[in-house]
Amino acid sequence: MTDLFTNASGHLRARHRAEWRFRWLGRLAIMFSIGFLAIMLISITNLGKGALSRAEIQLTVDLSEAGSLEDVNLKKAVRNALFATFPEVTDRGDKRALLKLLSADSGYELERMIEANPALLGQEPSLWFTASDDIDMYEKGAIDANLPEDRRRLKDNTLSWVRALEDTGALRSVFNTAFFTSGDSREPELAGIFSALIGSILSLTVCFALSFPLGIMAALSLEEFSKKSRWSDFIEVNINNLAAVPSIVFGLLGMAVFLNAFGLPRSSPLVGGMVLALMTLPTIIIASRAALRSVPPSIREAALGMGATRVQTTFHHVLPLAMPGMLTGAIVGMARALGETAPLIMIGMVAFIVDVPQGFTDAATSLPVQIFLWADSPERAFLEKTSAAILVLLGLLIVMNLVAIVLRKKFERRF
Amino acid sequence: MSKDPIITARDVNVFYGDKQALNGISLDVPRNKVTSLIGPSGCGKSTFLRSINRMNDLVDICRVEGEITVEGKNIYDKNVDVVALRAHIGMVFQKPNPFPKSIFENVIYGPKIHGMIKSKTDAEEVVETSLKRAGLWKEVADRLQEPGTSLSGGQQQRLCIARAIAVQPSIILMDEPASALDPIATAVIEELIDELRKKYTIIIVTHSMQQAARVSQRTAFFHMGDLVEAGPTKELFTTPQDQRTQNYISGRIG
Amino acid sequence: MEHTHIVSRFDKDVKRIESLLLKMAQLAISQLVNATKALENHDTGLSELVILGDKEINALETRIDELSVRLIAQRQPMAEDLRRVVSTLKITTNIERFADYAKTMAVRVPALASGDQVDSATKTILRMSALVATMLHDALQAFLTHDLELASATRLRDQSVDQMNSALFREMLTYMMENPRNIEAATHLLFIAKNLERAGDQVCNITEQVSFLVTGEIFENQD
Repeated sequence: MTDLFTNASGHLRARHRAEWRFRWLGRLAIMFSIGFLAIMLISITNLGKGALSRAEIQLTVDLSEAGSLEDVNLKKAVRNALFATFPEVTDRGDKRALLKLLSADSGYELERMIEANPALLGQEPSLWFTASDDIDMYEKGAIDANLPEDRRRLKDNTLSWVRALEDTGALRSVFNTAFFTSGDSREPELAGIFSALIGSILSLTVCFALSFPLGIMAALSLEEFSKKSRWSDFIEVNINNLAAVPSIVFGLLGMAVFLNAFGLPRSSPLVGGMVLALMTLPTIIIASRAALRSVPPSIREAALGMGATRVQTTFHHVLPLAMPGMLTGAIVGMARALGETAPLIMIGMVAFIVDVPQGFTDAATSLPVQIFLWADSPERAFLEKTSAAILVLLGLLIVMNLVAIVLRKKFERRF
Repeated sequence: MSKDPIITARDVNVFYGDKQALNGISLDVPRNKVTSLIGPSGCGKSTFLRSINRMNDLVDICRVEGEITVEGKNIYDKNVDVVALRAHIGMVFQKPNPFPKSIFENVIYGPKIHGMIKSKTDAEEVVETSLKRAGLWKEVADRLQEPGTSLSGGQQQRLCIARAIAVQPSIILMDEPASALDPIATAVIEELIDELRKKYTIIIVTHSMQQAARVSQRTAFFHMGDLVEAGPTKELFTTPQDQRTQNYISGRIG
Repeated sequence: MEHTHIVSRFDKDVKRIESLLLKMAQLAISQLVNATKALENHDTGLSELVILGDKEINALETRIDELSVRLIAQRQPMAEDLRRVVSTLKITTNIERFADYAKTMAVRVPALASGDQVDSATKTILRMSALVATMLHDALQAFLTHDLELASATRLRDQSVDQMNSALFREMLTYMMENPRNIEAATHLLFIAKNLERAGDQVCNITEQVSFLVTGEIFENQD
């Protein structure tokens, strides 16, 4: 009798072993997934962290003759400052190479600096200018100085100048706010995600404004107000199928209908938002229907039993209870829409956008499309920008999903 | 107060699709009395109850034939507004189902949607009266803004009763109102029912014969969709006329 | 009534009470028979036994009452079961009284045994006793088998008992007037006859309970 509850039997041991095996398989699966996730994140972070810094070169600019901004020949002033720093450079070819130390926009940089601080006029201030992408890459250690010259990106002369600048402390790396504040550019050192970000935000706004109300209304009418029939079954099957349609198909649809038939402006967040809305609508409808179904029928019965109409029951009782689930579904749908590239490319949001779009009908691009374009570029510097943009995109997605989770937790308590 | 029955049912047949749930039920429900409907599971008593306030309309496959009149008017008539009917007939369900809103809002919802509230003082009065009549006022007067779901089971059920009587119905239907409650809460509800019948006509479906015997003045026994026997409670439980009733009441089925 | 209760314990409990009731009635009848025999044979030994035997009947009454109350508390009997329990409780009282009358008859035996037999009166008493004994037997039978006709037939026989009692009363009056020395014996016999008449009434009460059990109506006495 004493070994009543002890694991004397082999059968019981086999069951425990099977359980242990299963548990460990689960753990392995988790570790595998996290491992891959970690590898991906770490490698992207490594590639992208460089985008957060930017090399700058300090030059002394002679503005002593200038009384106002118009007096200044910006390009010339910068060039002279450069030549002044390296007076030994005389050869024409060398001079051109010297100019390449700075980024192409240095003239505009000088202009902006004078506008911000007019006291610089009539002085000979030492100002920091953005270096070119090659110097930037060198600063980040991406260029191997030990390779033979013909296989190196930076030639010997440039290298010597760079070293000289380093020695005098005229070369530094700063936080690259331009990444977040400027639009796209041919020059990698000047390229930023701002206009793409705005484009994404505008598109998503249009998408939300269209898909959320339509999706909720559709879900309500399907779930609460229609009788179960073959017709409603048919609709349900079709909506489920639509949710699985590849997004590029929606892009083709958008191109054919919105651009060609309706003649709406190409490459605009308006059309982009409309295409994304079409794509997100099935997801929102499905999530909303699930949220509506999760409201217990006893609430509806109580309301109807008191003489509320169907509409009153739905809007006073069912909808408030289902809203957290619906919002969650909408946010998850938005997160997916944020990361969509193919349909937006189809409707032309692939242009080279420098200026920040001001309205819904201006030409724009979106963050994932921007990533796609940058990934195509040959310059080494774009590689880190691409990775950094991917990190920003991932960050946004995580934030959106966190908001969805927080909302759900917050409203669930009230039930 | 008129002596004629407030509800009459004549030859009522109810079908769920092809299955017949009620066979030719004819029953009179007297005013200001508690009528209990008893019978084994699946006998149709809940179906009959829900036919009175047309809650069966919500079930697509349900079909009701025959005549049920409330205050002399056939409620299955084409020009009857179901919403108005349900304001006249309150319902309390087996599992207490207060709205996930505050106690105040729970009680005031019905009067609000039926346009019975003109001012804030009106609202407060209605809430106080209803809660007092439901025997809940003393316990919640100081926390009307708390959610209805924070009350105990018995209190929630009384809140549902308060909610039902706030729209001033003349009839209250109760579908096993105490079956989810402990004995003390049950006794409180039964006492409440006894009080309520002074103002309202009550029809209660119950699984417990003892409860039917305690609480009602008239009892109707249903069996497999038939109305086997209906009569004064004290007679039905001491000398039932039909052998089936005798068997069910004394626990001798089969 | 062929239906058995879902809870088999219920039927067991009811049967137990019924068999105890039957036993009580049989005991009461045998008490009466023995008391009568003792009277007939002036057997004081037998009359002693009868007096002692009354204890058992009282004990049975207590037991049956106890079990009935328990049945009500535990099983909440309804309708016919309820009527059966309520009438059982009343019937035990009737049978106990019946047995009491048998005992008082036995108590008087020693007093009568010392004197002479009063033949005619004794014969009447013997007849009354036999009649009342069969009445009790039939009344119980009617109760256990729900036999309304048997119950009313039994009730009718009480008239004979009453008549015999009246006849004996007149006879004893004459007897006492004949000879004052007869008064003692006659008085005893009168009391015995009176008690037998009362025993008949107790049986009538039992038949009324049968009516209540079967029809659910409380029997209205015609007088």
